[in-house]
Amino acid sequence: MLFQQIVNGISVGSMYALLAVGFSLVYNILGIANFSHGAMIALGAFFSYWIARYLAVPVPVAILASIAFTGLSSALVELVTLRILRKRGQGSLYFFIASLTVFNLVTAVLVYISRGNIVSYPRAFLSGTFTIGNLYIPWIDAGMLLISIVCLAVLSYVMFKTRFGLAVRAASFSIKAAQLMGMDIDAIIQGVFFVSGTLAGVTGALLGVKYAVYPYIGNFVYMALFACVVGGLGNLTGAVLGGLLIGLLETLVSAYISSAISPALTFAFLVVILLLRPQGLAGRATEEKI
Amino acid sequence: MSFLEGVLILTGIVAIVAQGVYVLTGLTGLFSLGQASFMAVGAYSAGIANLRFGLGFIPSLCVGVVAALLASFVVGAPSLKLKKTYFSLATIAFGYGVESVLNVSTWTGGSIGLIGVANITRVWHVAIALGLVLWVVRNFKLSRYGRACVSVRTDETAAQVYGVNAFATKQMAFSLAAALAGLGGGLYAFYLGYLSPDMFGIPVSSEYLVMVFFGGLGSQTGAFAASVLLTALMEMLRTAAEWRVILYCLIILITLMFRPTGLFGSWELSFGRRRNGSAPPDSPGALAGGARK
Amino acid sequence: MKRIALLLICTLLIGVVSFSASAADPIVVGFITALTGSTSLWGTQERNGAVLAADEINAKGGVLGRQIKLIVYDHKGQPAEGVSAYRRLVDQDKAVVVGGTHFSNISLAIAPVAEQKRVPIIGQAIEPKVTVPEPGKVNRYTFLAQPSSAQQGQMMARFGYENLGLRKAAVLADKSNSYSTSQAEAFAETFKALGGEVVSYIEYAGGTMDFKAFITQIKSKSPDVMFLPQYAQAGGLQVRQSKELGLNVTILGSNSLSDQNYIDACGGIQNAAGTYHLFNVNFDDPKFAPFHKAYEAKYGEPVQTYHTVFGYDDIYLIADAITRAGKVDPEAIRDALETIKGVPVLAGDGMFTMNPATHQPVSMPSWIFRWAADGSRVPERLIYPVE
Repeated sequence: MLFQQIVNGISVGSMYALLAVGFSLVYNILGIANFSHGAMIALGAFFSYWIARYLAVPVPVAILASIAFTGLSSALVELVTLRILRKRGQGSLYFFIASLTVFNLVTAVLVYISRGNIVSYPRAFLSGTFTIGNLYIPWIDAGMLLISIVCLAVLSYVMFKTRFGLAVRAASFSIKAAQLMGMDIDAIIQGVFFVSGTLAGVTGALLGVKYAVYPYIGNFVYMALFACVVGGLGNLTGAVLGGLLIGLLETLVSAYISSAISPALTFAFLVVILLLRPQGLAGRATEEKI
Repeated sequence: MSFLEGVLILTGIVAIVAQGVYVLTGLTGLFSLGQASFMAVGAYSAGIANLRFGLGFIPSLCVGVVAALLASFVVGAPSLKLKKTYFSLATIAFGYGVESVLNVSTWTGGSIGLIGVANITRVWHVAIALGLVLWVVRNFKLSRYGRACVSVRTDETAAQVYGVNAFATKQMAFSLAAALAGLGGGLYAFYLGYLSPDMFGIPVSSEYLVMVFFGGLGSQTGAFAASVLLTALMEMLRTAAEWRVILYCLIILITLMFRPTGLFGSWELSFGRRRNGSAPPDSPGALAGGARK
Repeated sequence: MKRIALLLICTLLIGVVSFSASAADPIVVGFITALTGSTSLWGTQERNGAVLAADEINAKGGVLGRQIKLIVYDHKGQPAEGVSAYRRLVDQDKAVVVGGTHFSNISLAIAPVAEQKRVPIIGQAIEPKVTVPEPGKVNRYTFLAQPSSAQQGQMMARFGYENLGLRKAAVLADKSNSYSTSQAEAFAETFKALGGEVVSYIEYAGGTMDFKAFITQIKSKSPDVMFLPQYAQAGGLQVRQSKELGLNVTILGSNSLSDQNYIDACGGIQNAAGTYHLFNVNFDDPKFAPFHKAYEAKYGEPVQTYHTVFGYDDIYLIADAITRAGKVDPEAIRDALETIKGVPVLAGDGMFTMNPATHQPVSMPSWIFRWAADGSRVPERLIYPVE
């Protein structure tokens, strides 16, 4: 049973990891929690559902199409909130509250449109289970783990091997310095929002496959924040490790200690871990970013 | 009690708790997602003191405030020495903890809630409490402690160089905020006469954060005005049925875009000479990552 | 100055809130439900039902020769909001009777206020403590119009033990939701009293979406039935995840597993088929034909959830009470609600009688349905609660 619980924990953890990877991007460059990521997760789930349902295309195609939508939506959010705030001389602090409101707004609009309904994809996608010995592993969980690894690999490539990645890393050290070097900081930030939005789209669509599509699906963004914090801020690998750790902890606490108070115990454990290792799981003492 | 009195009481309670969030977030730059949970501690302690131990109104309120204060030390002592972000995480842990305990404990009525607390709170109680709170917070802000809070927010290292005990300052601000939340919670318990764990979640805490930002992070007046405005707005939008939350969010968002520092920025209402409040915070708070200047 | 003006606006706004239309000729009936928030589907369905009933009554000439003016307010699923909505209905809109809230925690918050305001409220909040806060005491102004959670849990246990011959039960309950815990307790108690065994009783924290940790535990105890007193989404996910982990046992569920959302959360009818659930309403009964027709004519779509019937029945029960009271007076309407006897409704077996001692219905039965593989609901049995 323990092994099955560990498999369960990893499956939850890989979901959190995927959530955290996208979330940590904006976190790195702005140093601020971007809750509109939750809005993009919800939009990703609904877009891919609508496309699969009304255009009658296979689910993977619908997911790919919705990713483009959420990337653009995320860039749009940047344009109408963060850009304006920055042009008016505000730091990124007020963006925190603007993004939280965008998240609430999008959720409320989705509640209105869907009328609070829970829906599922018209065609089965990654459904069913395979077994190894007496371990049951649902395809969706395996798929999520695989996709989060792929996303991490692609993202690492973009961050460390492309000019865009170099620019983002430079900006994440200091926006002012990057600006002085003649970089188009607006374009860089918008690019980061786009990439983060696409990742939110993937995550949202997969969450929709796993847990059905519903307007409050964006609430998973809180888990992304926690995973980032635990993993060590501004660190992609840390985000993944943080996500896996939270998922495992949550499952094992639920299974072996107490089901009714598992969130509380999980977070107590996390605080203890951070007390013992204040730089986070993968964080280094230096402030190197990404 | 009429409908209008009910709305006034709720507004007053929200304003009291929001003053605490102002001290914590506006002055000190700490983000707590556990303010509603401190309210819960205050509310349940006061309610249980009244219901199970037969204490009167004022003693029960005191019990609530003391309980919230104690809780603030439990949460603050380990976490305030760490990065501000970890403090936020600790407040979230606290939020989950309170919710779980309230749901599990039979003593608090579990998920059914605490039934049968006396209905005592009246408008004048809340008015007096709010007046006192506004006065205390104003003096706190202008005192050396308030200035210490601002210095910790702006640059913790520099503050310490100048002899400010950063940890003690943060703990003080946090405890004050918790006490105010506890007071608000106590009044809430005696207003509703019924408490359930789902009244005080993390989403409620984040509403308070939105409120303080909406009013202007640097302004006590702003925190007060925003709590009044937004509570009234939500009540007015009740007739908008399904559009209610959508309109509420849109109004906040549009206001923020036109007044990026919130309604009042760092301006304070003052009946004497004009006094400028502290400059709006430019350093990222706790939900912001490490070293951004 | 601009800012002082802003401050003035704040104070004015409070004033505006208190300003509203004066009481007009029609009888004002209030209704409180969730129009926003995570349960807005149920709330809007309930509202649609209530509005439909009010329209029908008005088309037939109203009550006591006067029209009904139905005012529906949102409570967002939050108790304090519900109290504000109730106060607003009573104080400003001068409602003489209020319907609604199928949320136990909200009705629990409203109940003491109703005692002060002396305006009755009738709804479907199934926690028995809503009307009976402690044994021997009844909230004079609060009424329940469906079987209580204790009765619903009991009915499912008896159906499982007596009709399906199940002996080893596992129970999974949401600790943060009294709807769930009180049904789970009643189920476990009855099931054990009948001679069955509860091999696993797990209460999880609210907001949980991944139940595999619990299902793995339950599977190791090899029960022959799982009782899931859940909202549609949680129930669907639990069933789906237990199939994913290879746990295939009989599922007994609460009334929320009756709507289409449950099938969607299950990931399709292939997972949901075979689930037994309680359901107060038999939509396929011929007596529902006019109701379906009227609903579709008004809203241009079929009825989605049973909450529609909640709203519809509430308004008819209220109209009956006003008629029997003979005058538009909250106290008289309260007395009439207490003595409802054999009033035709859509839910249960079609007749509603109120127990004056508990303000809960007298032996109101419920249907037990099974989801068939073609996505239809098959009525298995009409079951009566044992008092």
